[in-house]
Formats: sequence, C-alpha cells, structure tokens
Amino acid sequence: MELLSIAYTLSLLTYSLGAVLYGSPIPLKSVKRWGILMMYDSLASAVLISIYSLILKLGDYLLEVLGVSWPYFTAWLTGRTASLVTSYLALQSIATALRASGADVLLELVKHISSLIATSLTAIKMIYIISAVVYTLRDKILALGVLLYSTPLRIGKSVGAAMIAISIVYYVGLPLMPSFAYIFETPTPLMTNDKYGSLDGVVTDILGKPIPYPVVRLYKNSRTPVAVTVGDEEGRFHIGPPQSLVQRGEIFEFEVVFMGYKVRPEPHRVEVPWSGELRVYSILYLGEGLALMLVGIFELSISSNTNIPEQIELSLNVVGSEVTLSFLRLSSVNVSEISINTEGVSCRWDSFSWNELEIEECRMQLNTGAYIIRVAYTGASYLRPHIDEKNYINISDIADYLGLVQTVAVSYLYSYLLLPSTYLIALSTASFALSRFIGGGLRLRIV
Amino acid sequence: MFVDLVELVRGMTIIVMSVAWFVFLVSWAIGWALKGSPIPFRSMKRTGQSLIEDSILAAFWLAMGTTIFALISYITSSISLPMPPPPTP
Repeated sequence: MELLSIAYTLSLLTYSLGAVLYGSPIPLKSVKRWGILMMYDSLASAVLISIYSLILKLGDYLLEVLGVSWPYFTAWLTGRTASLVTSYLALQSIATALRASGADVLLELVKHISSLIATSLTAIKMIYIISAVVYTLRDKILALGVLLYSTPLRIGKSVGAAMIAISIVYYVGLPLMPSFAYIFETPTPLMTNDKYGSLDGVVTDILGKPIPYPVVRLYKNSRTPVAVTVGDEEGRFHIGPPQSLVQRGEIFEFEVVFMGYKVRPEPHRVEVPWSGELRVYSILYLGEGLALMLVGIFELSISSNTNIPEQIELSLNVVGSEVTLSFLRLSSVNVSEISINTEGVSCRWDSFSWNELEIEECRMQLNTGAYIIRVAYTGASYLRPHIDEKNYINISDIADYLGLVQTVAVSYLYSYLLLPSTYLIALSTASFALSRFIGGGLRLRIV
Repeated sequence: MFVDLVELVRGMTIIVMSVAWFVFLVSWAIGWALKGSPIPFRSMKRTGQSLIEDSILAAFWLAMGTTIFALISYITSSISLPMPPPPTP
C-alpha cells in the first residue's frame, strides 16, 4: 500500500526531527519536551503501520468470535426495507380504496401513517449507506487514518486516530445491530395482521380443470355483490389485503360468472380465511374459448382424447329425466362439427354480448340415456372480460384498522429510526473513546 | 506520484539526519564550553551538563532509530501470526 509506505517514511522523518529538537543546543525545556514527544509519536505510528494488517484481521476475528457476519447484517437490512416497503404499498392501496369509496376523512390519517413509514425508510437507507461505506472502504479509511496519524508535529494525529477507531469500531459494531435491535424492540405486528384474512382459490369446472378469467362475486346478506374480482388465466383469484379487507370469521357466499352464465360453485358459503378449490359442477371448459354448460342430473367423462388437436369426445350419461346442454363459444371460435352418437347435429348459434365479449350459444335438450358427444373446432384464446372489480371495504371497520396500523407505524419509527440512531451514537462514543486511547494513550517510556 | 512522495520524504529524512549529527556536535561542544568556562555560576555549569547529556542521548536514539523501527516491525510481524480459532461456548 502506497499510503502505508508514505506513512512509514513520515514517521521516520518525525523521529529524526524529534531527535534534532531533543539534541539541539537550545536550553529550553519545552523544546526538549517537544523533541521527546515527537519521538514517541513516531514510534507509536510505526507500531500502527506495522500492525495494519493485524488490525484488519482483528476486525474479522472479533466478528467471528461474536458470531455475526456482514452478509447476515445486509440480509437483515434488506428484510426490514422489504417489510417497510410492503407496509407502505399496503397503505397506498388502502388509500386508493378509500379514495374510490369517498371516505376522504380517513385519507389524512393514511397520509400521516405514510409519512411515518417514509421516515423509517429514510433512516434505514441512511444506515444502509453508512454500512456500505464502512464495509467497502474500511481498509482505505484505516490506511488514511494511519497516514494522518504519522504526520509530523501532530498535525493530523487526532483525525487519524478517529479514522482508525471508526474503521475498527464500525466494522465490528454495525453487524451487531440486529442483536441490539432484538433485545430492545417490541415484536412488531405485521401490517396485515390476524384481524384480516383472505379468500384465495382457484375456480375449476366439472372435471377439476381451471376455468380462465372467472368472475367471482361475493355476497353478504344482500342481493348485490359486496366484492367482484376476476381471476387470472389459471382461474386463481384473491380477495383480501391489500385490495379488500375481509375480516376473519366473516361469512360470504360465492357466485361465479363465466361466459355470461351465473353459477353457484361448491363450496357456496365460506368463512374467512379460506383457500381451496371453487368447483363449478355445471360447466365443462373444453379449452380455447369453447365451453359446455350442463343443467340436470348426469354423469360425464372425457371418454377418449383423440390425437387430433381440438377434437374432443365426451361420454354423457343422463340419469335424470332431462339435461339441458349448451355449447358456448367466443364468436372467433369456429366449431366445424358437433355429433351426438355419430349423428351430426346442426346448431343455431344465438349470439349475445357479455362485458365486451361476443359469445354464441347453441342449446339442446337430451333425455335419459347414454350419449357420445364429439366436437371438432378451431379455438381462439379466451379474453379477459372487461368488468369493474369491486373491493370489499367496511368503512366503519377501517378506522379501527388504521388506528392499529398507526401503532405499528409508530413502532416502526421506534425500531427503525430511534434504536439504530441510539446504536450509532453508542458506536460513535466507542469510536471516540478508542480514538482517545490511540491518540493520547499510546505512550512508550523510552527515555 | 506516490513513489515521488515517498522519495521526497526519504530525502528530507536524510537531510534532517545529517543536520541532526551536526547539531549534536554543536550542542556537545557548547555544553562542554559552558561546563568548562571560568564563570563561577552553578546554573550555567548545570545547563552545560544537561546539554552534553541531551546531545549524547539524542545521538544514541538517532543512531538506534532504524534499529528500533526494525524491532517494532519484527515484533508486530511475529504477533500477526494466524489467529487461534474463536472459542466455542
């Protein structure tokens, strides 16, 4: 290291200057004292220069003894940042929901909580920057400190000692911050706490195959749905935080709408929290924008999957007196053939529009008996219906929730701003003490 | 640039060292002159004595300087051996 070689030659210079002052023919005590002092200083800095690599190793050794590491600390910091960001985003979505519902009074509270969380985020970021500087530049800080320490006439001695102390104390002390925080912080409740649950599920057809983009409606003691959501391509849907706030223990009724048909799924009534399969026993989704709607008592199976794509053979056993069978297709789907028991069926396709999807329907009735139904068609991808989603938010309940979130935000402020600041102050005090020791205490009695 | 700086400081050190030897000689001579002067003042003789002692001590430490630095390097390099493994509780 060039800095160290400069420091070494500087300390030699200081030593000879000290010797000159000490041996000079000026009969003044103060001059002689300065000479001795400079010789001391040069020896102390020579010791520091020689143990440069030892100091670096000592930091790692202390970390090993204490059982902490920098990667763990960085992971801890990123974890905390992530939880803060999650909370912030959750709050933003609550704010959006509130704005939509017109409860502007509560928005002020949300803004206040958001500012608390933003402050905590800034504090975390500050710690992140400090730790990054200490971790990446500590050898350079140490070398610079040693160089400043060995300048003649004590010009940079105290600054150098402070830099040496900081590079040691912060390198060992910062990874200990998690342990410090665990001792003092109260366990922070998560933003989406036990009060609220969620309804997660996948909508499937008779044979358990997922239905794409199902519209899931949620009812609660009324004829109008309290929440409406559209599932994804794999039929999965989520009703819960952050979009909807459904309380644990609340009971809701499901309804699924698919290609213009409202159907009642199994299970119908659920209690929050719930997750599972929402089975629709009257729809068979054949894929690529073609579905089969069956009403009645029957047994159904796909009897053979022919190798030709988009050609399906079903075996249907009508048990009850009658089954109503409806083919539903997007208008872009071309059905080339429908045959029942090898007999071709001509269809009259009635078209209707449902949420900007053009759908055509062919309806027929089948009496008791066993049927083989064969369908050949050219499919098209099923599009997402344009439906205004509706989130469930109980306004009278949300005030309580926000109060709780406020408590959480204040505890965030405590554990992300106050505790780390206290810890940094403690580290600075320790650095100061160490720098006093290095800068003033290293005295070797040589004369 | 760093090499230049190191060379500069080294050159200065050599100059200061040669100045130092000259200064020691001067102060040694002055010391003896004061001590042996026919002026019957105790304090002057003591000053001369201390000048002689200081110049001799300073000359000794300057001569020992490189040895001391080498010793420090030797001692610190011998303690910077691999650390023992941390104790396990």
